[in-house]
Amino acid sequence: MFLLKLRRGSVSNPTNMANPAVSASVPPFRSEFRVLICIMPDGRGKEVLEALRRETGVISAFAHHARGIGTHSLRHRVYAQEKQILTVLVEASRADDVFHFLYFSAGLDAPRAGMIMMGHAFRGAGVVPLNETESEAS
Amino acid sequence: MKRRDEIVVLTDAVLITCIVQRGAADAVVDAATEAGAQGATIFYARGTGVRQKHLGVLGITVNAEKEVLYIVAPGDQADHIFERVYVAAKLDTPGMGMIYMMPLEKMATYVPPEIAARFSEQSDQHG
Repeated sequence: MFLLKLRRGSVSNPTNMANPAVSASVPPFRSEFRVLICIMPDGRGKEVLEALRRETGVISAFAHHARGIGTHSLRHRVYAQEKQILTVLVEASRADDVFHFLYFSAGLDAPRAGMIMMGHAFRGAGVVPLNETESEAS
Repeated sequence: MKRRDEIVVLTDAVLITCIVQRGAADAVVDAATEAGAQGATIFYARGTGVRQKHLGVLGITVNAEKEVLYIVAPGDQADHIFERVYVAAKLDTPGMGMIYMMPLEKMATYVPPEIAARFSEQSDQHG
């Protein structure tokens, strides 16, 4: 039922896609993207987001708060920590570099700091830079 | 010997995402750790849906406040953890939440040097 609704909608209408007159508002086609989920110590999200934008130019990212629960493998003792989660959408060709950058800038090379994972997305639209929206409006 | 800028990457990992009613996450985490998960990450969210009114009296008995759990598990344990979490979260009951798992291309975290060395020795022996 849900799939049927999507096919009928104007968003996925192939004639709409082919029309260059509406190309500015047409959602992107399927492509290869990677979703990076980075779980890091609390308080580091903002600086990592800023470093990500400054060093790699990636702005399609957001951070939110979470709590982490882990186990000590030796004593089976549970511990909890405040965390921040950074979710990044990036083109597949750049994913490995961004993965590497986030690992070190989030300080994940220390015990119990967190982890980073890479998943797959086949259609996506990143955050539009502010200067692009300004130039379109003028 | 691992270089300073090298990352030990783990493959064949699975991300289990479970969305439950607020307050239910701790019991679900307990079930997941008992089933072999090393840990979980939990955050709050607000859920809604078009069929929500069918799930309670005028939709008001279904709490929109949710907790989302991320559980990263090895591929060979993922199904077992998934099933235990499904039962613990009572996801066979309408309105209780949902669960899905997706493959991870790779993941990285801190791996103690002695464990990384042991794995690199094993991989050298296997060619």
